[in-house]
Amino acid sequence: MKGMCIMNTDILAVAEEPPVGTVLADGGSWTSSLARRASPALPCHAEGTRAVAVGLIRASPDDRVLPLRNRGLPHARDPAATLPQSWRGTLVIAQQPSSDNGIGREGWLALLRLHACVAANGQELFVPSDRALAARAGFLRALKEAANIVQALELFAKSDTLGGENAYMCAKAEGIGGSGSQQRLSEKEGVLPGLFVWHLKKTGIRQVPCQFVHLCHVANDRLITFQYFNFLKRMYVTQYNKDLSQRAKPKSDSIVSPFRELQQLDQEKKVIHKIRPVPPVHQPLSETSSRNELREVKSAAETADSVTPVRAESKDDRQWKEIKLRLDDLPGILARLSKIKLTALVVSTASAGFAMAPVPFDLTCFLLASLGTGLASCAANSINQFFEVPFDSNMNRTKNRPLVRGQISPLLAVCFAASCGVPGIALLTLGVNPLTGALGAFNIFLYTCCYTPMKRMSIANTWVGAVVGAIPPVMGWTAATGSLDAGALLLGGILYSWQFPHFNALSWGLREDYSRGGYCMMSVTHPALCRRVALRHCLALIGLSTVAPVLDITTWTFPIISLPINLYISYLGFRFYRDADRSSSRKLFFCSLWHLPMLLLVMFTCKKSFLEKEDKGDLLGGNHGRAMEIRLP
Amino acid sequence: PPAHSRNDWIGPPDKHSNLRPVIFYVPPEESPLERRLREARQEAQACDQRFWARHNRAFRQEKEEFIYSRLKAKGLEMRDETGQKATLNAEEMADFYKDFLSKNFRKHMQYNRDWYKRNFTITFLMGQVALVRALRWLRWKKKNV
Repeated sequence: MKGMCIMNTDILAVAEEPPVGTVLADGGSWTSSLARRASPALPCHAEGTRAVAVGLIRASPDDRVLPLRNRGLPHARDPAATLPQSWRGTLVIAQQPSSDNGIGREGWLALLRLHACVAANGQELFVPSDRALAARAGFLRALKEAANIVQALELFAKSDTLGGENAYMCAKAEGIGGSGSQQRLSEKEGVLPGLFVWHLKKTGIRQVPCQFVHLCHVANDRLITFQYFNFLKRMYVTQYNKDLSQRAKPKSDSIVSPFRELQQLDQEKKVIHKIRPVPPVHQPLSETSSRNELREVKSAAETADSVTPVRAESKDDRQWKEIKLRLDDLPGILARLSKIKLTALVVSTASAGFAMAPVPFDLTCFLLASLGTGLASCAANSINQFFEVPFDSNMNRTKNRPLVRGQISPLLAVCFAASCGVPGIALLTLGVNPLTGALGAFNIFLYTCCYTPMKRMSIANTWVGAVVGAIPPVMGWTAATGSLDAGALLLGGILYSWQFPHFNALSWGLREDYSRGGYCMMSVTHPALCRRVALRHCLALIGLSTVAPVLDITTWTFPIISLPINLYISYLGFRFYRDADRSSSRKLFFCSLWHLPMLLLVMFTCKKSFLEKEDKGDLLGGNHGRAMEIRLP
Repeated sequence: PPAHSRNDWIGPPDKHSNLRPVIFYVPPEESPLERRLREARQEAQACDQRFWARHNRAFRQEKEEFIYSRLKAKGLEMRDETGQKATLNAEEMADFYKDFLSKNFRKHMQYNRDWYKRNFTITFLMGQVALVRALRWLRWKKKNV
């Protein structure tokens, strides 16, 4: 197996499905024969070229092989197959290379359930490290979100240096010892038994025969299958660090790094007993072309929390904790309470608004405006969390918020909100100009008193939320110029339109949680409308970009340069509209994440120089002057 | 939580309601105001627990029934031969989600109102208690100085 880095003397069998139509010598299905093969008593053969999902040796008391159903393939019920105790927790996996592989996922979920490292004698072999737990959690998340196992793996596993912070691969281990591998994990790295994650070669066609390998446990050194690979005892775990965290800055780009081919270390092929040698298993490893730094960012209109590494929380979750405020925890808690990353996003849209205003750049004003906006946003987010405690605790995305977990009392949350909001608005009103202050206060009101309750009352909340998200750039603009120009409204309009594909795509995947939590969202109640609106606003973005030069905000290069990205998001919006499935919604969502910063960046670079407009009008000069007066000395 | 603790303790999320139970510490010299606060919080906790446990149970049950009826309509069994549970895909479940949401709309409206009311009262009481405590502490400080 080329490039494979799984080293585990336990890993054993590699079996492939015979071509469709093959009649096995012993009759019956291939899956049942594999189940039988799993028994150490019988030698095995490998035939065919396709790997197939087969069986999961569950950590069940009676140690039976329970084959997974696989569509299109004969499946076996093989209750009679029993396995020796030492096989408990081992995994036999395979993957059918089709896009419809819900059953495969079941198997993976099942296997993840057996994360108890149970050795033959029932003792824990390893205590999974925090990272391993996180890896497992990450994989579970990937499973839930991917359309099929292949995607889940691609999401989950990323190539990385071994021993790097995100490298895990787990397998059942007899012992850690391993030598000779140049990339070894320290013994403290997480190991989970029975789970193998393989990188799939992204060939672009999913119909390529699967590259999964079946792995069977070697019991007591007895080699069972026709072919096995003797690995070093070292295991190495790969994990795709799917961080569900918010973007810190809107202008960050997704980092692209290819999967590293796993180094093959010390691999031998042996033939066991008297089994005739068979051709090696095809094992192309995948190289995904991009490491998607998947981040979930909610627009200013919606809220999202950053899911910090699950490992710490999963442990904490099961314990009783004292409700006592620790001062050194406080900054972190407050950051999460105020959704600091979302706030940062809001501030950056406001600064984009400031930057686009056709006035000379004034640093103090800019800083004051940003600070004021940031404080206002913190306040609004805290109040939002204060209002939504029981609902947040019931939704997967939000159940780790500070108020839900009791890390901070509601009183403190309100006080914090007040102590952010009042100075923030005061700063905006007195330090920048009253219009901006008024907009800030209005936005806080809109968000906390209109949007938050409306989320549970009517689907119109999405439109209100879009307005909430559109106001910060307007605030930035008014901070600079002191008045609401057409330019401000246009910028607000662009952000307003952007919210829809962003949020609608996101909410598509959260329908169950919304339904159970009682949130009235378009994606649940009016799915067709949801997709229509998303598409409509993607197209509106194109229109708005074209209007920009008309209003003298940018040069005519802006609509031209921005056309490709606008067309792309519209295309994805159209796909979402037509397909209405998980993958298209995710694509649209992730596109919206980079689309906005790019658009704003392009807009800024195409900004019409102020000098060109100096003779344009007293109005601008007047505004500018007014803005200057109001600023504090 | 240990017996000697002087704080409230919050536990892991409940299986049914997903809410975290709180065990309240009853100080020996609890003032009537503090007692009111504690009782309000306990009552709120109980209400929330009741509501969500029932709601989530209903959700799970109705989801099962929905899946069952849909599978039946398709001619499949609830569990296939290998014992795996059959599931419907997201699009089919969407109908259920929509239905469930509209059915429970009233219930949620009522609960919302109650929750906001309770939340505000409790926070207000907390504010009062905190204020009283702060004054008391200031008085104590002045006395000791």
